[in-house]
Amino acid sequence: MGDLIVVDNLTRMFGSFTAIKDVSFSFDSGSIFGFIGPNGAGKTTTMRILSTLDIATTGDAFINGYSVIDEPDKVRSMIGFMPDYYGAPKNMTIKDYLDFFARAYLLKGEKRRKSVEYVIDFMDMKKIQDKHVVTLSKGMKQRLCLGRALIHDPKILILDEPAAGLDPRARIELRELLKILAERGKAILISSHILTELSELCDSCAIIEQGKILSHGNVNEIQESLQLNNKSLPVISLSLLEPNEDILIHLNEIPFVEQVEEITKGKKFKLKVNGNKNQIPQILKNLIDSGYLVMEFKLEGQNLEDLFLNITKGEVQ
Amino acid sequence: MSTTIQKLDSIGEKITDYLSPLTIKEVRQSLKGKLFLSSFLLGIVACLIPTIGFAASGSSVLGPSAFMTYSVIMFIGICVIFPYLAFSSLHEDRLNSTFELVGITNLNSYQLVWGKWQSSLVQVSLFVSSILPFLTYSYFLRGLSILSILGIIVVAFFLSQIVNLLAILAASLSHLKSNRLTFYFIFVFFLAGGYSISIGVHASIAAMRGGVADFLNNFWSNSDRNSLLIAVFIIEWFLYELAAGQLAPATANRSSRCRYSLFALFSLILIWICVFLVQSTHGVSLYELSYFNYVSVAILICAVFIMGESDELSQVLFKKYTNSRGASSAIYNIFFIPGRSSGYFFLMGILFSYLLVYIAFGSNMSFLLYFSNAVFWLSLLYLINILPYNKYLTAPLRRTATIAIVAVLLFVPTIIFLFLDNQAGAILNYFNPSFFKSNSHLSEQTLLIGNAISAVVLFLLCFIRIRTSKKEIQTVRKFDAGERGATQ
Repeated sequence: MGDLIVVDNLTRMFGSFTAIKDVSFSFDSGSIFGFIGPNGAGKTTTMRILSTLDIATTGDAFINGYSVIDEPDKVRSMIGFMPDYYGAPKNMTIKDYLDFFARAYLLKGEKRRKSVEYVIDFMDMKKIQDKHVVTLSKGMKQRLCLGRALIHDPKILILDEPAAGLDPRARIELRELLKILAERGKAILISSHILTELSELCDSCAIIEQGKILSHGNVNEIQESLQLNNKSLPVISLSLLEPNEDILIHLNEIPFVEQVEEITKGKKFKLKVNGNKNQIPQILKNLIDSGYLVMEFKLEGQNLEDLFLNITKGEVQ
Repeated sequence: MSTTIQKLDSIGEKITDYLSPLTIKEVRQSLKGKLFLSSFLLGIVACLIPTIGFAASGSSVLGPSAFMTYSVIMFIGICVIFPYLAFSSLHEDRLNSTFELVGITNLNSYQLVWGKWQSSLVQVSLFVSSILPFLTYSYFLRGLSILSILGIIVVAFFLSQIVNLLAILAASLSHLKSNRLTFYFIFVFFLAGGYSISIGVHASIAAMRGGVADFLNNFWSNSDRNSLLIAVFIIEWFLYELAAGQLAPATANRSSRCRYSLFALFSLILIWICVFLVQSTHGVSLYELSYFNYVSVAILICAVFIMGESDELSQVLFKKYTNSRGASSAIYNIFFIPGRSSGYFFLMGILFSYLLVYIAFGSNMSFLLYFSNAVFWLSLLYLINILPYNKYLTAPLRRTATIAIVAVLLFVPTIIFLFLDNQAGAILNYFNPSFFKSNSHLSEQTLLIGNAISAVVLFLLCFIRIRTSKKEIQTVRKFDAGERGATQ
């Protein structure tokens, strides 16, 4: 059986401007897929096509086997979309807002009532359910919008910059909610600029720039492929418990250490290593055997943020 | 007791399952809104102040004066203020993306527009109910029958729904906020609101003078007004479809239903004209024939919208329809497929139909005059539409520009005549279709020659356009075949 979401060579042109070109990726239920790229890279355009709000100039995307272009009605009942911008309707309480969308998804009677109650409970909004939407904080509005996307229990969630503008607490809460949803079998496509958040959340990702996918797949796979192509030397970050003025000379004498950069005098260093991965622990052993009190010894370039910076050029369309 | 209330609650809840979700949302929102509340209260206060005066005056027959005052307040409320509330509600929903989010639910855009309209009906009903005690009070001041009062309330209600729908449509037509406001002021405030108020004033005066019989006779037998109302209904039907198309997501069928509706409306208009002509045993008067100009302009506005349709709007449909082959499917597709080319065929269809009507009924020279006048309008507007046809102008801009020009062409000469003739109180005749014609200083011969020339120009333009349309369709077919091959 194929993946729940398959994006196949999507291209979207606005006149002569190409917003996205031959975008392809896929992922399955129960996984969180990160969609990463700078502003204007084509993330929102791709998400809007997947949400049946826009059409592709060429190519197609399939949600549970249904084409977003030829069978948008079938696709809509399977997706929950959270856009990057939405306003708050006036004179409407949280409960009324969710009730309206439940009705719009043709949920009737008891089923509708239970759905609204479930979402209010899940989003922990029971105490404020009669509050007006316009009076909510940014974090609570985001939460409500996620709740709205969940009201008809969709298989897939498409979230465009859901953590934008949230304080650290609200971000952590959102991240936990998304993890729970993924555990419950939802497929989640999420775009964000906050890459440290995504690196902790995503199983796989796609990096997009200027409308083209630069790399996609499992985060570790991307990293490995990147390192195969990477001709620059690995960098180690080193910190000592106490400053030691002799260590600089010692580091320069260790085999495989090509270059030493002193960050904090006698305490923090960056080492460029000329050799394979197996030789890196040898450096640590050397330092400990020589009596240095090592607090941190870390190979750099391992997180999503580094991957993103390595792959993209920072160009916008 | 509480069980009974719970039962009633549950029955009420079940009933709402069958109502449009948008109606429920709108009613909930609007009834809590300051605008609705203030309009409601202002209406009551505006009626209350003259009521005190009427009560204090002690004159014997005050019914008609009181009724006229109340009915003008009612018309202003339901034909100007409440349409604005409907407009601003949709306008805000579009600004805060609520409509976009609703567009990807199980509701289609037709249900959305219908829901908005229904909610405006509820609001207007509530407002009228607040004025109702005052209208009833005017009955007790003598000089009016209950039927007169009821007649005007029905007319007011009917008109307000037309104006409300126009307001909703104005809010849906453009993606730009400024354009939406322009549409609102042209369609609602200026045209529909003004016309409705003038009818309200006429109705009140008529009721004041002769009671319900005179009023109803004057109102419903006045063929000018009937024709204009029918024309408004026809435009509205199409614009309802158009508004729903505008609000639908790009993947929805935005075009075909508009075109089916146009086809139905066009057939209806032809039947209406034929029935009208067959029934006119006494001969068709010049005034009566002038309605056709309005009908032709109404159809033309529809055609202009279709011609101005962006190819991007209905790419998916275009791909589906152009794959069919055969003569009958080709004819069907030419009329119904989306894309800017097919609108020209639609226009040609209108002209041929006019010709058929003329052949059947055109023994009267005056009919020829008015037929040619219609052709003149068609030609002129066609020309206006074709001129900005270049790649630098987007489809919405073309539509906006054309509608603005239509409005100017229709009403600016009338305004000029109003000032030239210096007719006091002529503002009530401003929306009278026969007024422009009756004030024309051109001779029939001049009109005929001018219109004949423009008709020739029109046919030439159509001919050129058909040739280029064929090329466009071929290009799209090639493009489509290429892309299909590439993606499969």
